[in-house]
Amino acid sequence: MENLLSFWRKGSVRSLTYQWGLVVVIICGMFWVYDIATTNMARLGLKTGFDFLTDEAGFPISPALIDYSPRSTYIEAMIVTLLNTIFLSLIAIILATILGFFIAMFKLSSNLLLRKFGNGYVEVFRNVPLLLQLFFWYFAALKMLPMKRSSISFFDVAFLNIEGFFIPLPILEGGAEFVAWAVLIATLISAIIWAWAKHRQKNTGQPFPSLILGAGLIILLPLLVAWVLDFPVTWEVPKFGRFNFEGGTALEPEFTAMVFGLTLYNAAFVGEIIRAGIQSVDKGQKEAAGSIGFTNMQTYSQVIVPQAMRFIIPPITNQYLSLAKSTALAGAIGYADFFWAMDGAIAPQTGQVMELQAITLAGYLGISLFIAMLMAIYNHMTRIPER
Amino acid sequence: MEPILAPFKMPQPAPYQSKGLLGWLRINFFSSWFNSLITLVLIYIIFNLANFLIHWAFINAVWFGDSAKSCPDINAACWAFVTDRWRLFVYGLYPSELYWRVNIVYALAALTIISFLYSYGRWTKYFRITMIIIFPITAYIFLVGDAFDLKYVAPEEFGGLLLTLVIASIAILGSIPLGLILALGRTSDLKVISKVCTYFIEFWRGVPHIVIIVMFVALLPIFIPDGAGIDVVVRAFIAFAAFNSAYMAEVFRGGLQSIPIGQFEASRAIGMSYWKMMGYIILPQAIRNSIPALMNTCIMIFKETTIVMLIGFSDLLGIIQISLESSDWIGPPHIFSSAYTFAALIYFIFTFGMSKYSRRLENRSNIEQQ
Repeated sequence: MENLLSFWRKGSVRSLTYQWGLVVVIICGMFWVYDIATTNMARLGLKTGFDFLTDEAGFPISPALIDYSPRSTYIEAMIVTLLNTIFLSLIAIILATILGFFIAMFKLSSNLLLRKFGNGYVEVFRNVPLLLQLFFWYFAALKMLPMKRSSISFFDVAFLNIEGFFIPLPILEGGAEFVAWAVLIATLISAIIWAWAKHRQKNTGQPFPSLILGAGLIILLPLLVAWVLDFPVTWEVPKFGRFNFEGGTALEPEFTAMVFGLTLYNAAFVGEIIRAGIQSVDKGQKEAAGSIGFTNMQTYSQVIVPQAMRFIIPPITNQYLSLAKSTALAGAIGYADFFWAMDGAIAPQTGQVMELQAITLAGYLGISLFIAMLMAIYNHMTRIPER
Repeated sequence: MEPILAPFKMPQPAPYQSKGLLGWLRINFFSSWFNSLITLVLIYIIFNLANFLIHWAFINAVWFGDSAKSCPDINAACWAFVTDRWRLFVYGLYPSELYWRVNIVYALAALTIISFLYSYGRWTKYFRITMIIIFPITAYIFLVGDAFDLKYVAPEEFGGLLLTLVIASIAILGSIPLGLILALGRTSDLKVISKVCTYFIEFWRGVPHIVIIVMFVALLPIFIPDGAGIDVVVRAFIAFAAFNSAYMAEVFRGGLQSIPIGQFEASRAIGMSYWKMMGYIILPQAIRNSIPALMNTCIMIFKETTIVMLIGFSDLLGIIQISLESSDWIGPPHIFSSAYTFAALIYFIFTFGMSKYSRRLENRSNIEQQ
């Protein structure tokens, strides 16, 4: 007995017991749940298996980035709506970051009124539920827009009305691929110049204006090629015909409302993150940079921002993840996103909720992991090497 | 060589440009031509916005009425919708002769909040602990009933602000203990336990909340033995507590990581067991450090309760949406914007109050530490 007790008191024995105990409990629990699930599913007469994926979907998906018709299969419907979700997240992430940057600048400004304005923006948009904001944009704000005949016109090339935002569409002609090649080549050359300049600055301390040169190259070379080829791109401008707009493309109100809501809501959080990151850099850093003759611009780009990034990246990754996940609310205002397709369209038709739930979870986990991975790579690239 | 001494100067008075009201204005609003431009543009924008809002919300607004016809002006707020339906928004479908029970719960909730807002000398602690214990029990008895001669009211009949507050409180109170356990598991030295907790947390955090709620509501009956039917409202409560515990776990993990390693080593060195070390030394400090993040998570949970309307519950937003689509009030979009403004104001009062409270706690703990 005494022996057994001292054996049990040994740390390694106890920790192994706890851990293996947990593993056994989890495995037993899984078998138990599996058993219950199979009995229940047999009792309810639910179909199982993934055969339905190649059946005809039969429902339309209105913003489709790739070819899709109601005659396509379920798996194609899933891919189309998953692309919609990714596209929406991407646009909203980019816009929210840009707007959030400005909000942060407002809050750091020396102008008291501008600071208060930024503060007010953050408090209002951060403290109201996202779903309510989406409803506001979709059911209230966008529904107040004029009818098609009296659209709000932006320089006669884009039109905003109750049925959506009508924008010009670029039409590619022969030779357009050369311009694309020019962009690619210019990017490659700039990357090489950037790497060489960095190497040289490390060894000799001589700076080289690689950023300006690269930007110029990427803009000018394709322009030159396009000019030589007599601009192989024409813009198809929407024109109001007898009853409807012809030409161009329309951003549907559902999409516009989602972009508005997601951008304005998340920009408040992004703005706070960027502001906190910049303020977390010690004041001495700015003063030191100033005292060795850095301009204000250089201080920010060479000293403050690189250090602030370390504080900004982890929370901003979480914000991007939360944004991507909140696109699942799109179904509430009728935008055809991944969750809408799975839960609102495919599940009622096929009844195979288990399989669909598994695919939904896998889809969103995939998006989350992808964003987390990208940000981890970026974080690795911009980290400050520690001695 | 003789050292060159700088001529001694008396401290100079502040330059006249930075003194007084004019100086304050110059520093804060007109420090450069660009700043002056921004100030003028902003004054113009804010003036127009305020002018519009005052006309929209007060001067032209319609305050009373019983249908969409009472609000013909599309450039004015339609508060008639709110004054006509406010009972529905506050009490949901709760039987109207039993409103007094809800009122008692609201009053108790207010008393609980008050107990945390102010300090009452040496009674503070007892007051708060009593309220924290009494409030959930009395709230349950009064809301659900079925005890002490109180009539039973099914949770399905909760609605409006009441449902929003009930879901938020259950999610917050349920996820804190679960989150604490998960955080302890994740930071544990036992590799397997730490891995299991990590995967559990990351799984919930990687999936949209609406997906989880739909999963629980639609699929939970398949995973439990037949006969043990769980009410659909309770399923939603479980879902909320489940995924929010993952967020809470991350909050507490942050708090645990902020404790210097010396604290762990010192408690071990004087022979404390793991649970004694956690209970007496680490957790009291870690929980105090995680209060700001905890309050942020509470705000997030409160806002997230709106998604229950997507599975057919009538929380505050849900019941407003239903009322907007009822035959009396269906109409032009300006009624929608008034209703959403009202809802936003209610949510704002709660979330803004919570964030102000958290900032006060933070300031106080900063002062205590100095």
